Parts: sequence; structure tokens; C-alpha cells
Amino acid sequence: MTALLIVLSLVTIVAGQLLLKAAMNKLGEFAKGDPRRRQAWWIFAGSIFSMTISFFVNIGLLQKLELSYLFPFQDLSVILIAVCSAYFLKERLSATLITGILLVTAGVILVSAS
Amino acid sequence: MELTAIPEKPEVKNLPAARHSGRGAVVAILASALTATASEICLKLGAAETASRPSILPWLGLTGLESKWVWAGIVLTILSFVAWIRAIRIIPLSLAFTCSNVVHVFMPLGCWLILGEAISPRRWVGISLVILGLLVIARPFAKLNEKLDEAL
Repeated sequence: MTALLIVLSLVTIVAGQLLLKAAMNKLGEFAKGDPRRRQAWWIFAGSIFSMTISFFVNIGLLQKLELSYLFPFQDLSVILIAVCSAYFLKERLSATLITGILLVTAGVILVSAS
Repeated sequence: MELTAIPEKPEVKNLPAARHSGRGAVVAILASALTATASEICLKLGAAETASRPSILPWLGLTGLESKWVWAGIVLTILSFVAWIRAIRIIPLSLAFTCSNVVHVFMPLGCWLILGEAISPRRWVGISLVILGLLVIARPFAKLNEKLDEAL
């Protein structure tokens, strides 16, 4: 059950961030008053919903597990978000950015695990 | 390989220029990280305070809502979220999310400086790696800032 909740927490946070960015992109794309902006607000609502689930699942996990145990799993979200941003939002990742992401993730895992 | 997550035409319409400058993105990410650090501490305090309370859905952590620390954490999370929205309106998510990990530098340093907690050598290595990673990212970030400033 714990493993499932950790996965759920990861999936919902990644989905929430991707939806939020998609909504912001759409809001920037269409001028105020354009009916297509309504679609962006629905995406925004979806992102809030997803992040709310993640928030409460996270508190539930924090009540049972040590922060140092939980953080390394959460830290994978950096890599997952970068990969998903490239796939779904068509953000292209440079070698420099990938290097930075890997260094930050390694550092964060060390910080969390110690 | 170039960083091409930068939109061809940055989304600068409809909003005041100051809010969309590259510097604005840095300030927003820092504000978001600082409030997220404070929020994380509050949530952990609240979760610890309410861990033993009975609940119908124990895996959801709803009993945490009985703690004032959790409510403080929620307020700080909302503030962090508002700053975060400002940041990702300007810069790509992959870049912004990685930069937001500066929180893992603030958290132990804050505990060390304010609470006098010790930092283990392994944690120092981790902090150094995060800072190094952020410095590596700083270059494409600076390039993006230039493009955004040119677009204004």
C-alpha cells in the first residue's frame, strides 16, 4: 500500500505540474475574452485537483514515514517532470539542462537521505 | 545542443513588463522556494502532532487538518503556489522545476544557521551538488533571461 501511495503521490504531482504549465501556456496564447480561454481554466482546475490529491497523500505518507525515507522518491519528480515536459509540452532539453537536472537530483537525494 | 524550450515569442502580452522580465522569474522562484521551505517544516510539525489520531481514511492524512501547523503550511503552500505560477508563466517547466530544488539548499542551511542543527559531511556533499547543478543551469537560464528582456 505504501509503495502504491508513493507512486500515486509522484504521478499526481507530475500530472498537476504539467497541467498547470499547459494551462499557463494556453492562457498566454489567447487574448482576454477569447472563449478558448475557458478550456485553459478547466485544465487549471484539473491541475489543482491533481496537486490537492498529491498534497493529502503526501501528508498521509509523512504521518507514517520519515521525511528522509520519503524525499528520495519525491526527488525523482525532477527527472519525471523534465522527461514529461519534453514529451507532452514539447520542451526541448539541452545537454546542459540534463546535466544540471542529474546533478541537482543526485544532490537532493544525498541531502534527503543523510 | 541549444536550449530551445524557450518559446519563439515569449508570452509577454496582456501583462505589465516587470512581471515578465527574466529577473522576475528568478525572484518568483526564490519566493516560491522560501515559502515552500517554511511550508514543509510546518507540515512535518503538523503531521507529527496528529500522527496518532484516529481517522476514517488514515492514508489520506486528513487528521492533519486538526493541527494549526498544517493550516500554516497550507497558507504558505498557497503563497508558494502563487509565486510558482508567476515563474512558470515565464520560463519552461523543466527549467523552473529544477531551479525550485534550491529548497533543498535553503532547508538544511536554514536549520544550521537558525536552529544550530549539525550538517553531516554527506549532506554538505549533497548541498554542493545541488548548487553545482543550479550553476550549470544558470547559463541557459541567463540566455533565456536575455531573450525575454529582448522581447519586451
